[in-house]
Amino acid sequence: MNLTTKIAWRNIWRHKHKSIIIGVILFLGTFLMTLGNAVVAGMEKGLEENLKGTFTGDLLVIPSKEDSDAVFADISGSARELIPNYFEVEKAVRTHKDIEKTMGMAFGLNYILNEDSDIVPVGIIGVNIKDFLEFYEKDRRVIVEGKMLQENERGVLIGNLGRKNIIRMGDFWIKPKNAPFNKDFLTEEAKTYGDNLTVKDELVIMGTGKNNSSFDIKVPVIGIYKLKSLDKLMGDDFIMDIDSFREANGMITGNDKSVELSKEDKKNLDDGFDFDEGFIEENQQNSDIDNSESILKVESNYENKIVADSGAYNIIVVKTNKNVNQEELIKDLNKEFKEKKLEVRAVTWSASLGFMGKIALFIKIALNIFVLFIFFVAIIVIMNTLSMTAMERVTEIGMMRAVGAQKKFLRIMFVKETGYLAFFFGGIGIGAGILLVMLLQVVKIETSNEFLQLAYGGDYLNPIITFTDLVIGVIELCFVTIVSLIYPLKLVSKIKPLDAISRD
Amino acid sequence: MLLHDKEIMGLKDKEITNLRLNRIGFIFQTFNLIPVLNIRENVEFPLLLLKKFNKSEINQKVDKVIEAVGLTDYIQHRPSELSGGQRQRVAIARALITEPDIILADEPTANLDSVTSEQILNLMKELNEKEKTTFIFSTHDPDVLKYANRIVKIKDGTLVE
Repeated sequence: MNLTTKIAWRNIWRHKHKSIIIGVILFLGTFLMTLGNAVVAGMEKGLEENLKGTFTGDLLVIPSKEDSDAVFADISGSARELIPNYFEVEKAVRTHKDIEKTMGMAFGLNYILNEDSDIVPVGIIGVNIKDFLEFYEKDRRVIVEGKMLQENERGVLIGNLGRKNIIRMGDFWIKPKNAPFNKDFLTEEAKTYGDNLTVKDELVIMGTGKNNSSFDIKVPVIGIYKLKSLDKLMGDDFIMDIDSFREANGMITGNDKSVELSKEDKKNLDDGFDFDEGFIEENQQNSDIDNSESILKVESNYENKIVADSGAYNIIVVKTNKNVNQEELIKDLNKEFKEKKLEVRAVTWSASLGFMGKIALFIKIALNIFVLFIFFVAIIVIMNTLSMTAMERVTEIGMMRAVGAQKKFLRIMFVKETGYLAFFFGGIGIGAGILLVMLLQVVKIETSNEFLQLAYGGDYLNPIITFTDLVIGVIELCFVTIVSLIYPLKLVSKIKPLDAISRD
Repeated sequence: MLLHDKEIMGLKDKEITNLRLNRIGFIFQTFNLIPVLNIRENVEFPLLLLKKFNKSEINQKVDKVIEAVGLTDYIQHRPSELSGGQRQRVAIARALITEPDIILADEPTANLDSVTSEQILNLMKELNEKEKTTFIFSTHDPDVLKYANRIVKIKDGTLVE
């Protein structure tokens, strides 16, 4: 065994208590860091999977006029911008080599009008239900009462959490139309109403269209759904058929003008205003936004036959092919939009969710600050302990210098002493962290608590160890070891042969 | 200050450390052995720093010098398992191992009883005669002076006699 290694190793055993103090601190630091990073990585992955799989897709395309990328988070009372030239934009996105599928979505804050209490604000997603069910994984939303909205059917699906919120804010209970009233679904709060509980199976929704173009529409409740994951946190959205949503929110485009006009209407227009066919045709090509009520008025008639898609959407959610570099794809798409003069931009899934999309990052930063604090304490304690050790061993070190040991020899000896402690206890800390993570992956701790669902990134605690986190952990451990050695090594280097005598 | 006709006062730390390693041995009042090393390892310590000899040469030298100080039976012991006199013998062996030109001894008998002191001084005298090693030692003990070939008196850091 190398001389410095031998002395360092034996000194660790000789100064057991100091070694244990240093070791325990290093163990705690690395253990907490490994476990914490694994929990945050699991949370990050869980949130990403669940939020992408349930709401945002892999990335989104939104109108350039939207001030913020956080379209799902920044829900104000005003109407959202429409995607201009939707069909052209959708085609450009859908035909991109890295994109698997797309779906147009309308989204905004609407209000449930209630004769007995205050209006209740709700976030509503307007979709073509067939596209919606094809776009997202099938088991993401499970119908717990009533049935799934069908293609060409008017109505709304309500999230389990949304229904619970409504009893709190609107003082009424919602059940699906044509479904029996089942008391088993009532929340504790709903049960307190007793016989006075108002039960509704149709809702009057007031949209937030621009230029007073919104309408009050009455929609039947088709079903109550529950999210597979994050239900307690995100399961409050209403999912409405796109036509009802557009009607409520006055969302019409140039396409609507041509689609909605019957032959008779067109003839009347021709007779009355001397319009020629060319104008109509031109209008059909024009997909610019026009919310003017003077051109078209939509009646709230649920017997209306649903016509071809008008292209009035606020968002295009996009599912990319596997292993695609999202950042590069977004850059590529935005370049294409610019070249084609399409007034839209692609944004990341996390940006669309605002704080929620970045919460894993914030928690990771907070955790790392906490671990850095532990390491800072570790640096101080280790530095102190090593300095004391150096001072206590002045005669021994002075003697080594006297008999011919270079400063480098002593520095290597001290580095090895601390290095072995860091390697051993830090290694145990990382190993224990990995073992606990593996155990937690097997045990699958479930939670129904909202905060914990967020912390877990889903319903289960599913921490994951990533290679990057392990490398960062080892780097941090090395950093602590090196920094805590700087001052003691300076002290050691200053010890002279004479110190071996003067201390006698 | 000259050593072997070479000025040593202006030497760099690395050079002067090498000088100590190659030409000077040290014996301390409190022995100053490395507590985590056994007797063999303490004695071979300067040779390992020297990096001039292979393992068998080192073993040969160590065995020889330990035999010279009469500690062959204690070769695997740690310093804490030895008496004061035995420890000082180890220190002498360590000082001798590199065959230095001079050995500086700082009150080598100050922490020893009179019988052990006499044994140590006799050992140093014997090594001086046999190995031609020069011992320079400081002392306050008049009994030690009778072993010296030459005595220099220092008062308050100044040479007086």
